[in-house]
Amino acid sequence: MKRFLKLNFPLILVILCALFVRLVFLNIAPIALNHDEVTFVENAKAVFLTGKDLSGTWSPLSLTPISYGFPMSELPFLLVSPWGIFPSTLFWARLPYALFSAGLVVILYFIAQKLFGRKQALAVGLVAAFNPWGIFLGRTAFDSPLAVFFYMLSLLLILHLNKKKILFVFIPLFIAFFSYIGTKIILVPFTIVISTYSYILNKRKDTLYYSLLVIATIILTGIFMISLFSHNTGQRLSELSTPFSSSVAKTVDQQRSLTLNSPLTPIFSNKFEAFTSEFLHKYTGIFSTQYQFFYGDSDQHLSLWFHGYFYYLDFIFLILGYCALFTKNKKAWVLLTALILIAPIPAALYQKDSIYVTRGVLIYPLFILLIGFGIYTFVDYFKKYTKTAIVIILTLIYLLLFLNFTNIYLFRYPMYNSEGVDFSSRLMANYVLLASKSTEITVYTNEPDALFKDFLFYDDFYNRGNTKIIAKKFKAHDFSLKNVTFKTGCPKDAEVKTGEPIVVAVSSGCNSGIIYNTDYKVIPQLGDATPVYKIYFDNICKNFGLKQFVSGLNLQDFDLKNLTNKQFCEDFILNRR
Amino acid sequence: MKDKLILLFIILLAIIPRLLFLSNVPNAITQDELHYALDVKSFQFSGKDVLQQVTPLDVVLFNFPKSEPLQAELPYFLQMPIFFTGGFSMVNLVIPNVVIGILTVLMLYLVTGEFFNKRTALIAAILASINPWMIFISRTGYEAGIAPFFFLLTLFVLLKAKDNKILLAIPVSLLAFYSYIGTKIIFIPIMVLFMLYVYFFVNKRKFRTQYIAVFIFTVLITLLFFIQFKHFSLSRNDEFLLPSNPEIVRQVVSFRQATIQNPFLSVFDNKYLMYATVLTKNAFNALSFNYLFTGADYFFMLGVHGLFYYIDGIFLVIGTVFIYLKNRKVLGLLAAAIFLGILPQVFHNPDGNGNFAPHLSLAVPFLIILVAVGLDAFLSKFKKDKLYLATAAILVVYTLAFINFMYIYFYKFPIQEGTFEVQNRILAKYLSLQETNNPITIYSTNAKLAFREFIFYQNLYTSKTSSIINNDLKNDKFVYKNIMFRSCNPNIKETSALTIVDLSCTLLPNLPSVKIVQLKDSGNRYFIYNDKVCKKYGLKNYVSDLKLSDFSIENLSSQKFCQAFIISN
Repeated sequence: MKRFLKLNFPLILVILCALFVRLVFLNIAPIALNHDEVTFVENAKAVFLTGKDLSGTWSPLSLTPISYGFPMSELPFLLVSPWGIFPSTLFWARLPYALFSAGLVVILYFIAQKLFGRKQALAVGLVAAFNPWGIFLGRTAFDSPLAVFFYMLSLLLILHLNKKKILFVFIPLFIAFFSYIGTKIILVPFTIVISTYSYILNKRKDTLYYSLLVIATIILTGIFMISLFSHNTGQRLSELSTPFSSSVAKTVDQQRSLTLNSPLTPIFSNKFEAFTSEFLHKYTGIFSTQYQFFYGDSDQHLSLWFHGYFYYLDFIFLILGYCALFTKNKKAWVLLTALILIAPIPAALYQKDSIYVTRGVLIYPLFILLIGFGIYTFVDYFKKYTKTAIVIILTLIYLLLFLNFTNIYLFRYPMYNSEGVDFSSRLMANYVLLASKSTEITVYTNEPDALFKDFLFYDDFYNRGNTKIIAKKFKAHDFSLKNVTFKTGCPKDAEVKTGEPIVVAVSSGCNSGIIYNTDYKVIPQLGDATPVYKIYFDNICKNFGLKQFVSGLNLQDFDLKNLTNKQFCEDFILNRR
Repeated sequence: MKDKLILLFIILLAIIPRLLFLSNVPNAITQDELHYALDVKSFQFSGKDVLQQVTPLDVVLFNFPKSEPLQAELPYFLQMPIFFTGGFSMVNLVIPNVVIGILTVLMLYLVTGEFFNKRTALIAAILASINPWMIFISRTGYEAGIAPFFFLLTLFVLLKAKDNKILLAIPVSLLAFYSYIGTKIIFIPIMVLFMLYVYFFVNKRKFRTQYIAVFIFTVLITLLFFIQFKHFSLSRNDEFLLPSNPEIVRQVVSFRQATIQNPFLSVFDNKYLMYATVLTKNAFNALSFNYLFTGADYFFMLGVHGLFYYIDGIFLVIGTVFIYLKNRKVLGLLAAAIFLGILPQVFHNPDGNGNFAPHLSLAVPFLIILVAVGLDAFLSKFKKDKLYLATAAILVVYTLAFINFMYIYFYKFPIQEGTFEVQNRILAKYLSLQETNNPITIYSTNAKLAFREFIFYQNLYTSKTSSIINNDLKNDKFVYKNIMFRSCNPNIKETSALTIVDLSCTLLPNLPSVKIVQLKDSGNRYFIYNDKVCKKYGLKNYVSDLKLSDFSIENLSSQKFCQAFIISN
């Protein structure tokens, strides 16, 4: 045992670090799940309990996208379904994703060991363990990190397998393909690149198996493309940009209206030019230092905004690692370069604004490999005592950067971007649970199905005993359970007159009738107290001294289940201003 | 002979995009460019600036004209030969920059040749001659266009000079110091960088005394400037970012307000950490791939093209890797020079977002050297028979990229509403069409600028008018004959006289008007009341069908001008 620990100390250290930063405070940070995450988590639970989704109409084994609502990737519901056995809490909901994220760290460790060496693997493992992208996305319930886990697992396997066993690589590739809708397009080029590299490394043997692997992925993609026209994923096909997309034609029209008259206009301003220009613009955007190192994505669900997906210092080691790898291992350099060039393609072909953190997700493990290699090369440049000093200094600097990231992630992010995780919906669910104990309560919203799922999740109402009832309700678009009803529209005057509690989402725009002149309390977004829900005829918080702004919160205040009514109301429910 | 012919070709290549349609694009001058013109003309006629306080000699000693915020010294002297012999015009304003822009290409050839072989030097020169940023800035009157030349010249002198000739670096670097206000803060570090490199790696620790002499000069001239700088009333020292900057303090306060209570609050949310974060952000912004190769900023064609071509990005990566392999000392020098080159921007912006391209101008030539090394390394991978093919392919790609840039520059950039705004040029032309001596009043949010631009565009500053105009500017009176420029006034009254009112001033809704508009969307900018010149022509309801030749605004007939730029809706 002692020998095992000694031999595997670097790996154990990496695993412990990766697990620690992904699991600590997982029950309260992030402070909630957004609607998409709840959809993944609750449907995965339904798959565990019934083999089908919440509405009982779809099975992940059909390998088609979920049929109820917006088409989402196929397999994540199945992959995390075993956790359906646990109660619905933030911790259990995110645990499988955190474990996959920690698993990716281990995979990167072994890839680095194979490509660079054992010592370099430790550097890569530590970089991966503490990487902001890994921690941030690893503590969410999104699907794109699952896809990248399986893509990198494929790379790891192909580096180690030969002969017939090469065909086993198809399994993780298959899962990767069905784990995230955004990265399907890179399956074939990814497989070609890793197969070619492995083939060369394997002294050009096993041609047949490598070829079969590539052919299998081409067939898989082909079948998927054909099936697009027969189910609801087809609507997502229109999200891809081509020279013939209507958005490209619109761009050309706009460009031409902002161009001086010239005979050159048709040559320089046409659909192909506009498409190429937009493609290049989006493609190169993934290499934006602002995006990767400072601000992250503009999407509020996927970024901290005040911190990038890497530390500032990583930039230097990324450049150094890239240059140094060229000198030390040209084949590995070519492999990583080719994969880096593939990574932005899904984002570049996406019609809307590119979300690199999801659609370009493959870039992150590749950058981590290079950063780790860069750090090792830098440290290795020095001799004995200086080397120790450099290691200590680097550790201290990274510790500071990590603490800064932690400060933003744990203490600032929940306040300035509480709606990035739809925290108001969690507050609403908690309020509704408290209020419904004594009376009926109705929630008016534009998205009753999403809030109903939030309600089921946060209040842990979905269990083996009511799966059929819930499925019926979803099919019938009846979003009510016990004393609680979720509806679209606005409260009618007769309903208001009953004096029972009503919650109205501000986005519903109920600005007329009796309700408009009725006094209310507010469920706000935390940063600036902007109302998200209005509570009419409150029966829970009326006797407490409510504030006008959210202030003085501690981390423990986000453990809502353990708050008294007084604490909950005084912390999160505001008086109308 | 062959090399000389190639060099000649490169010079021609540099000249054409820098001179083509120079009076049409850019479509206007900015306040910063106008800065020098009037003072230079005033030096010609009275020996002093427009406020009659400062002579050219005073400028050399850092006693600047006080009519404007502080700018660099050298541009006054570069513009003198042009404006002393010719009048104001779009071409005359930028000719010094055009010439120096072309010389910068040559200088880049010489400097690159000192580090690498002749082929790399030629590639660097070709890349510089067609580089979007270098073409763009050469066609403006911005000082950022001339600074790289003088800094490269200083480096070249240091690289070549031995023994006492090293002292030649003193006058040359003085010109570099005088060339741009933005690079003054990096003058000492960049001189130290150049000298350390040359001292250790070129002259192998010889000529220490001469280098110390140059260093002492470097420190003294900088100190002298900063002593004067502190006493200058419009010193711009608030533009140098410090931890006490109000924006930094504001950000700290807003962060503290929106943070969960924790013991690290004062450790991580304080102005020093915020300051360090903003500086780092600025550095990353400046070196962002996106910024350099895709979209740049509002100054540089509003984000439709990068400072470089996309393909440059590939060769930049290759070049960096190649120099890392072959010559890390040169890589160190280039990387340090690029880093110092971005510092004027790093220490300028308290928000930590966005860039102002002129502040980065010194980094660009060193980046071009890296790109050239990458391209040369790429081509060297091919053997003779395939080399021609590879060269031809690269030529085709660069030609396409260059033509695309030129197309954007000449046909899209003039329509944009960014740093260069054409409305005052249109206004000046409109005023020049008035044939009567009836009073004309223009109400503007910046009457002084509109007046000065009117004088410039119509070339009205002559030996006869200079003293009157100087006197008016001194007294903040902006009058030329019957034309009066006034600040916005809430009591503008309806009269029968020609009255032109800026959109932001109080308008006269009861009077019919024609308009000067912004070109991109025909949004109103000036309302012209009681127009008699343009109404006789059929005016459009919005700007459309503009041609490049229309931007030779001063030379248009009244009908063509009115129909192109004056709107009736």
